[in-house]
Amino acid sequence: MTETVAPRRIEADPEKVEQGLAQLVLTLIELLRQLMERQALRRMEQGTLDDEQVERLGLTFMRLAERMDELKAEFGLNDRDLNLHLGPLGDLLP
Amino acid sequence: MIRLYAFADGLAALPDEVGVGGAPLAAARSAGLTVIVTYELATTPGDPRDDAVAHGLVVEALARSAAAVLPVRFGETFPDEAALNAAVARSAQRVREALELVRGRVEIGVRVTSRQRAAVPTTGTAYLRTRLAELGRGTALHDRLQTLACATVEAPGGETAFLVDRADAEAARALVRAFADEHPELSVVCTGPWAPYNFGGGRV
Repeated sequence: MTETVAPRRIEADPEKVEQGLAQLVLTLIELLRQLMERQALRRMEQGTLDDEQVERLGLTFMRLAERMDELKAEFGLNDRDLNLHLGPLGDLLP
Repeated sequence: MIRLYAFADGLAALPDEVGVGGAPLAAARSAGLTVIVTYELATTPGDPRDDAVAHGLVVEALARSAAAVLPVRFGETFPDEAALNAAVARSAQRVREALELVRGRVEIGVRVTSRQRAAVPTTGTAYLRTRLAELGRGTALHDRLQTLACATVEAPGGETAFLVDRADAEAARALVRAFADEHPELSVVCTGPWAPYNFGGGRV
């Protein structure tokens, strides 16, 4: 958590394989979480969700975000670790 | 002990700056890259704040004199040249790509926060509304700077780092100032131009 700049590639060192795997899995979960959250926000903006649906979705994403924070802390990862550099395509996460 | 400050390309001469603990700078070749280092006798460590400032001053001096400089995180030290070379060799490909990205460019840091103390959302609806506002704020400024920025990175602490051509640094700052003037409800902090700290250097 103290890194100011994080590596953008998965660590392949066998000793750090657990950390690397956690980083990869959490990165993919974070990608899906962000995609779903943005979809929910778009639908909320468009008014295609009723109040109860907004509340239920909001609670889900709030808890997911909290759980992600806990998992990041557990594995000593920060937001910048949860990204992959895709060369000329840029970064996986915005 | 060898302390690594940055990777550099197109460096005509080393800056006059001295490194951590007053050690003279040296440019060495490692894995086909130019690394800026000091050779230190591992004696009593200095005040880490002074050392961090010395590291930063070296990087900024390099940024003024090299065509491309990729700062390395403060505190990257190696027991000997073999350890340095092994570490650099592992990162060489990434560093080469990053050096190309940052060539002739500087980093502008922008932090946008609400002036009102944001309450921690307690309901799902409040959470989504807060997220919508946060994304809107970021996107609005991001869109404006997109015309100038070659790359952006979400830096730690809620700051966004924009990589711009050196010649566009003042224009980028002016865009941020204009955005801040239009949004008195937001606190907009703009720093830089800095050496590109957030664009691929970091840990070796």
